Amino acid sequence: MSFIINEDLKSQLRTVNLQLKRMYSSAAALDKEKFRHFVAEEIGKFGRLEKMSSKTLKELVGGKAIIGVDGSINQTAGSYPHYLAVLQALAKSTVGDYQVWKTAVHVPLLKAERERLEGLRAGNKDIASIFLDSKVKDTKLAALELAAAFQAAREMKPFLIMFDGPLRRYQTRVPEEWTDFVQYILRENILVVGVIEEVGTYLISGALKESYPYLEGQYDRELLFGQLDPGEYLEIDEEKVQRGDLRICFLRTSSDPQIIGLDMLKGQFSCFEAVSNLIYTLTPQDGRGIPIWLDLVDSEVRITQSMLDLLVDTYLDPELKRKLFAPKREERIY
Amino acid sequence: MQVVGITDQQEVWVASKEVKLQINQILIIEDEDLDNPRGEVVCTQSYNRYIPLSIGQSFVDQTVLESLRQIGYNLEQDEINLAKVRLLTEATYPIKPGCSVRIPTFEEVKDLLIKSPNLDEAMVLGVIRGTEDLTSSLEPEYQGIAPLLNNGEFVSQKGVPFVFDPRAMQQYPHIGIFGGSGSGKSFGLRVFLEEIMKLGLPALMFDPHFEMDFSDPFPGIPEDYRKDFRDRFAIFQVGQEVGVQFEKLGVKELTDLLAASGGGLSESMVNAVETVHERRDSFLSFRNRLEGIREALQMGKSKIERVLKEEALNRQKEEELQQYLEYCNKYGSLPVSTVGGIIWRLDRLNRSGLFNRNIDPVINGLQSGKLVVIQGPIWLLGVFATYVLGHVYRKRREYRDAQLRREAAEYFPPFLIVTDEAHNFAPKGYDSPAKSIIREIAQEGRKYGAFLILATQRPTLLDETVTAQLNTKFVFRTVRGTDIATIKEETDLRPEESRRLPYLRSGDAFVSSAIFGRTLSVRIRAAKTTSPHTDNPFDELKSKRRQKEDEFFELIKDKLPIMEAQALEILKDLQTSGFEFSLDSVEQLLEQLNQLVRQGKLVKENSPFGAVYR
Repeated sequence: MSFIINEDLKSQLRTVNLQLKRMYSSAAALDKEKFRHFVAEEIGKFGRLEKMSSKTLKELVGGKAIIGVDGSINQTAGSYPHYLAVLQALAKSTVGDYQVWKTAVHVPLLKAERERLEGLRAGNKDIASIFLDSKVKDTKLAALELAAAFQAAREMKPFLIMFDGPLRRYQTRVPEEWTDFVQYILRENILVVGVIEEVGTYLISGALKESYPYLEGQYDRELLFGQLDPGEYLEIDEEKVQRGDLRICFLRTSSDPQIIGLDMLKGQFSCFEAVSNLIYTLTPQDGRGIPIWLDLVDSEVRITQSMLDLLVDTYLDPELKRKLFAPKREERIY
Repeated sequence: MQVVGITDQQEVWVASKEVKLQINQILIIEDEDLDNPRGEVVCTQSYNRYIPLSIGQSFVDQTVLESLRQIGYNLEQDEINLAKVRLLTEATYPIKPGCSVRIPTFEEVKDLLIKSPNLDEAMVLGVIRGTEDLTSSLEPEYQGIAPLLNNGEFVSQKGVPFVFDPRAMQQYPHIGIFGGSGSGKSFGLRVFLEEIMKLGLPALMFDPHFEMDFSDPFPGIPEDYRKDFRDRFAIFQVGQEVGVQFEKLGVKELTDLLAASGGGLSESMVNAVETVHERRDSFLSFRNRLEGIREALQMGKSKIERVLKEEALNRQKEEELQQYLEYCNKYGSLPVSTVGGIIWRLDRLNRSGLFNRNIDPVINGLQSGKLVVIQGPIWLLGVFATYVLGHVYRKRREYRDAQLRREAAEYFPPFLIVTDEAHNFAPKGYDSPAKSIIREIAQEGRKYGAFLILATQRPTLLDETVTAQLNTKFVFRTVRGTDIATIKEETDLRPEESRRLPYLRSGDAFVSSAIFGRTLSVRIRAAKTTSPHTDNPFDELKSKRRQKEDEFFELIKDKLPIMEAQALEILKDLQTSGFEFSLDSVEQLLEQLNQLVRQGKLVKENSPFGAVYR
């Protein structure tokens, strides 16, 4: 480890700090009241969430299940294409000890995978393979998650299916399956929501860019950081921000000043209040703002790295493993 | 349930999702190669991966858990119970990890828990903790014999009864009962004594607290559990029903008695008693001699001689003086103050009634197989114990020795000696009258069939020779560090167990016994009888005060309304009416009236002539 810190590095960090400060000082200068006023005028409306009493909660859910859906990727050390990834998706029900597991192993070395990658590339040599590969992986995982959710929907007829992440991901990654799924749940009156932990949209700056050009490029999470009180939400007007058949809202569900996002189907948005209050109720006050059920599903679907290594050691021939999946840096002595 | 983690030959960890494991529970580890060894749970833990102990990270609050429960999921169902299990006998090689573990049936562990072949001849003292799961497989004769008390309510027996066979004392004699106040030690002693009476064992109990009366049934006791002990015990108070016969006292016993009555004897006092006391002295003869010596020494030899020579005396007086002269010659070296001190101590003993009675009732009680309870203040009890123990132990020894020599002798039964506050009878570090006889019984009593049951809250203060001879020890809650250290030293309690000592529930005890070969955790059964003074003295105070106030109110009721100016007059009336209140002044009377005003029984109004009480 280098103990002498390069002077150049220090000065570069100083510069970065200055740049960031300049970029965000304009937003910071935006008075909270004023900002909220414009937001309310231009893009949506603020509202308050309510914690449900045990009784209301019970009545609302009516004994039906709530399904949490999440996925995980574990991969061996090594870089593309010399690695192996285990993709898992879990849909877990709050009642009846019910869960659906979907698993896939992703091996970029296999011929089929290479062909699929080339198909995606469509002759464009500028796109890096590693980028395409991560896309393939994510598509596969999205498919697994949706399949798990679909099976759970059919078998449990739940009250609500909660996805960890935006719904748009399924819409873009696996559009056909998504359409089938949406048709089914609308018919069966099953609510669907995507709980977005890391909001990656810039709807506000986009909508306000004419009045506030200096906000351009700022993400919603940056603009809304600390702007909502605990238990407050911002509903985005569907007229002003078009998002296909989805609608998004921003919520502050805990004492953490960072907001979370909520994706719902337009056709089910009339139930927004019930769903958002339910999520608020299931979120620990002092937590990071994610409903506990998703945290639970998340912890269950993840396998540890040591478990993956163990599985690989057990089921793969040692020489294959050594030849294909053992990176040199594992053998570094320092 | 299965064995998890790294195992060794002594200990394994057991994990279970369904069954909650209890400390002291016995489990069977199904390792065929090792013949399914048995182990005891020594430490328990529970873990829920969804409710981590995290500092700085999110925390799952109660309302969220409750909400989850409402939508059908109980987080607590993901709990994993862990237990450290110590094998009862060391295995030849480590236990196989992953092998399953199960709760045994009673039959499979009976040999570990029950050591007395015949239930009718054994003491049923409580329930072995950690055996609750064996209740269903318990043989009928072991069921329903030891109900427990839970917050003052009787609850039925759950678990294997703790049964103590007094016959085992032949090999492993003497019992110690240790525990601080409120630990259930006295309660345990009571249960012990009830069982002694049930078996009809002759026993001698020294009761400095006046609490070992077995006439009153325990409040709320179920009818079928009730037992009448009234013909099984006899209570005697030292000086009232029992005492010592002065004529039979040896000089050693007498000095002990005198020492106990007044904070020890000085060297010169001991010397004086030894010189003055004669064999077969009665109290009166000894007392008169001492009195005479004092008179003589006070007068002085020369004065006595002068009076004898010069004054005309009647014959009686002359004889008296002659006697004095003799005393002067014989005891001239004794200081007057020493003789005075002895007289003072002797009178104190006499006033207690000690010399007016004998120990025949005690002997008779033991002969007829009763529990003899001897009560008295602790200073007197110590000396009386010395006397009576020496006496009955000698009687028993003479019988046994005569038997050995094949001679005829009067039968005297084997007996138990029970005492609370035993550290007063056989203290460590200094001498006390009863110490040598208790030591003697501790060391060779089993040869003659005399056994000790010693209870104390300060095991550290108990004579070590005696402590070392206690083969079975009941250890109740103990808080004092030095006592815990003593207990650790004197028992086979493991570190985990001694750590639990300060937190034991009242009535729970560890039994460390050579008979069982390991420490058992026991809950003492519900007593069938109750101590005569369980009333809280402060409740008593309150009710007495209330009574007096009511009385006072009745007396003044007719005199209402009372004007302040009338107070003196009323006071006089009250004093003649024989009211017990000490009302000496007008102020006190007014205070009493104000008290009634505060209670709302009277109303106080102000008028031009001072206050008026209505």
